[in-house]
Amino acid sequence: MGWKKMFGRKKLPPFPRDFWLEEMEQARDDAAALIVPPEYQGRLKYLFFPGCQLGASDPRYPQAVYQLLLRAEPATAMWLSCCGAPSYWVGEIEQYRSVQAEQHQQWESLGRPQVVLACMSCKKIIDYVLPDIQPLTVYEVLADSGLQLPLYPQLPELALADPCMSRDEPQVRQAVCTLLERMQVPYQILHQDIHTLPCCGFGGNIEGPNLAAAQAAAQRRISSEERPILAYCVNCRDVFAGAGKQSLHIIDLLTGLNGLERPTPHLSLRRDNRRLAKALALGGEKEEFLGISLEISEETARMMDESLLSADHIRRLIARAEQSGDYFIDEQQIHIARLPLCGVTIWAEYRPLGGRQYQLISVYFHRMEVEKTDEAAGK
Amino acid sequence: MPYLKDHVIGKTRSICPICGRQLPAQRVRRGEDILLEKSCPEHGDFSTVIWRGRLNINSWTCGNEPLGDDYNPNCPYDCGLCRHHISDTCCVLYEVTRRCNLHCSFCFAEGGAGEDISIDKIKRDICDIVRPGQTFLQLSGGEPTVRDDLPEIVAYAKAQGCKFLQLNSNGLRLAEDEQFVRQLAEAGLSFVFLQFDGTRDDIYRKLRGRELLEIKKQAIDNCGKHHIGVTLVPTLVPGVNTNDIGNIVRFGISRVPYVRGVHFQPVSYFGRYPAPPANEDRYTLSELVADLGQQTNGMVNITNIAPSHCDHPLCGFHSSFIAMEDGRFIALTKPDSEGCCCGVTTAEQNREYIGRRWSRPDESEIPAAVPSEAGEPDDLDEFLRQAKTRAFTVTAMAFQDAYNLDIERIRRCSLHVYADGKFMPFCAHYLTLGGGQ
Amino acid sequence: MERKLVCARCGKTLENKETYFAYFGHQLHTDLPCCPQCGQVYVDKELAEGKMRNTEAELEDK
Repeated sequence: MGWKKMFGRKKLPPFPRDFWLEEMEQARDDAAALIVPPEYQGRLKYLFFPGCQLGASDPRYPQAVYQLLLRAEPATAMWLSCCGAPSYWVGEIEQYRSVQAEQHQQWESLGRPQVVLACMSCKKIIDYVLPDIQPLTVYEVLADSGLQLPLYPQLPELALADPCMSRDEPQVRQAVCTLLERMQVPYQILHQDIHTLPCCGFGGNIEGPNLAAAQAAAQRRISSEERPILAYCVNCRDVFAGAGKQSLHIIDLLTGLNGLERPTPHLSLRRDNRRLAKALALGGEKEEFLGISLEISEETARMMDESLLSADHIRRLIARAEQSGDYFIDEQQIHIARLPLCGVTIWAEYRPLGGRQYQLISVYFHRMEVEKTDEAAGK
Repeated sequence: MPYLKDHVIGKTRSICPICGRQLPAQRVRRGEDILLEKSCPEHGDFSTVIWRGRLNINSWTCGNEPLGDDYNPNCPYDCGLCRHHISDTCCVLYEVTRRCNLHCSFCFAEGGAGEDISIDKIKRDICDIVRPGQTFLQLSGGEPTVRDDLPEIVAYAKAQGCKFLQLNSNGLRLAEDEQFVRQLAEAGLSFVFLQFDGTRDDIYRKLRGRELLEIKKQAIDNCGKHHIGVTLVPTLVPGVNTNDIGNIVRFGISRVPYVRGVHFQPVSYFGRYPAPPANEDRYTLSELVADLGQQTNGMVNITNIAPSHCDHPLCGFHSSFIAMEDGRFIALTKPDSEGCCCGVTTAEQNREYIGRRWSRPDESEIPAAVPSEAGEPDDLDEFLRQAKTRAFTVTAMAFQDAYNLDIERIRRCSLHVYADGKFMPFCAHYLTLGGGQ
Repeated sequence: MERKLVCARCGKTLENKETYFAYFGHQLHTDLPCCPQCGQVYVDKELAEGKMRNTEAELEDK
């Protein structure tokens, strides 16, 4: 709320405020997608709305959760977009109202299906501004379903961090616990007194004007905690991972997508991730390689431009290498692999960063074909 | 397949060989020949053979844009490169003298006696010509080596930033004055276009008035010793040396790495020539390609010859090889079978390509020799070494004269003569009207 | 100067072996590091952008 006053009084520069508006716009625009199973057109039961940060954190999340929901209820659609919270937070009320109006209209045109959310901030704002929607969370839907879930009895004990927006949501907190118990995950609730639950540092976008305060908030939340953190808000998870803690999202347990060591993607990568999430949703399983997140230097990117090599070539190269084990490792743990294409062989040297993130160190290519050596060819 | 009657296969524009006025012209197929025909209201009809069967002209010229309505009605007299000219300058030809030490029956430059051009004028002209780091300059004449200050001219051109420097020469002085050759090399001469009409002295007696074979060989050796590339340049005259084509190629190969290639020039009737040409006195590009295949037992043939891309396809062809030490002759040029978008090379690309091919390679770029086993794949380093040191090109340029001048071809010419402050296509500059006497 | 590389699949250190290249109908060879077990060959950046590119340019007639 402080944003509204500060911006209104022209005490705040447009940047970095506009960064969050851009994030919202990207999520609603080029990274937006509506996936409706054609056979259920007009008689949808659920509309899954993952929110703008789920795909930004790991591009595979939205599609993976959607697949789970489809198993529970086939008449489910997915809408990748943004609930508009950023515009609300920075005090752009006009803009916020128009976003909400669009969303309401979309929901109407789809036949008013049951909206299923993954983000507690989305829930808070939709409950407040569009009370006729009455959304549920994916945790409640999954907890109520009879779906068979993976089991994790061997996991170390996890510290469950409820997000700030779950304060007034006992059913959601209960559903999360039910799921954890069904998956036999050993856990303990991090902050017992829900009413004094502190913020992780993400909310309100205070990172922009006061990064130190945001980081301090994160530290306060979890610094004394030795156990790995389990969150069901993707922003909490990313903030804690960014603060150096081993952090999981409950989706990682439900889908087996990530382990404890996944780093937080940089802000600049999150937009790419949203686009990938969209591509994965539209393209389905075969676009698996798109889930790979790359760090590419300016110089390398320019060279790639000149040689007509795309980041997707590198993703395919890495996916192929890591899956097959056909790569070399040097003394600095750099991986070196190739991708044979028609008329050219691309080579890349890259460093795995954990999760599905890689740092591209160099890329080169040659047109001549290299044949395997005689000895091995005979094997 | 013989045609029963004439068949017009294309329209273009030409000039009257007597008075020079621009005329509409047609390319006509008659039997197996293709002729350029035009009619001057004053001087009558003219018909000149430009292609003789044996190769499909449409395949050869595929991708070339025919002359439309956008041509200069004064071509080639508005020259100094008018705005209708399509190609940038690839090479500049510049006469440094009109004097010569031979008196040949065929000479495009009508060389002979006369006052020499002052060195100061030459330097001023060179300054005007050279674009630093880019220019490919051919020093021509008369016979440039009659000038004692030729090394000074070469050094000056190099200093102005000439990228490639070529000397067009009959080789007499190069054979007899090794010191002079060394001076030219030190001054920065890139390569020599050595007039080389054949491997038999009867050819030289007929075309040049004396026996010259031993002199040519000596010129090659001297240039080779001083690391100046040599390209052999035969003027092909039917009935004189057109049966020596295979021998010329083999001779050139035997002199690799001194000789970097052969550049055939079917005879053209401008400058000085013995008599107005009949069609039997002409040797067309199609015949050259076919005879090359036949006389070299297929070593150089249509499958590895590509029509000019920078200039008009009817103006010439190129073909690149590596003459391996073990006798293998590896063809590198793979012309597109369907032509079309393969198309057009820029003058800059052409310049770089031929400049590199005709020059002896920079020694520092060449890895040390690694012995190869016969029949085995080549060692990579060794292959690269031989590719650079033993490159061999077979090229051709068919110049036009007043009888077969084709505006569609001349507007794409990239070999430009510099004279009186202007750049003109070679064939426009040396155009001779009225019968050549 | 020689980089020590290990094949991820086989766990073996790469060794120099005679390797064959093919391009435009020509076969060439040189010694390159490769896995003694699975035969995968390593082409380093210097080779690809140096001698291989040079050879390709020659064979492509550029």
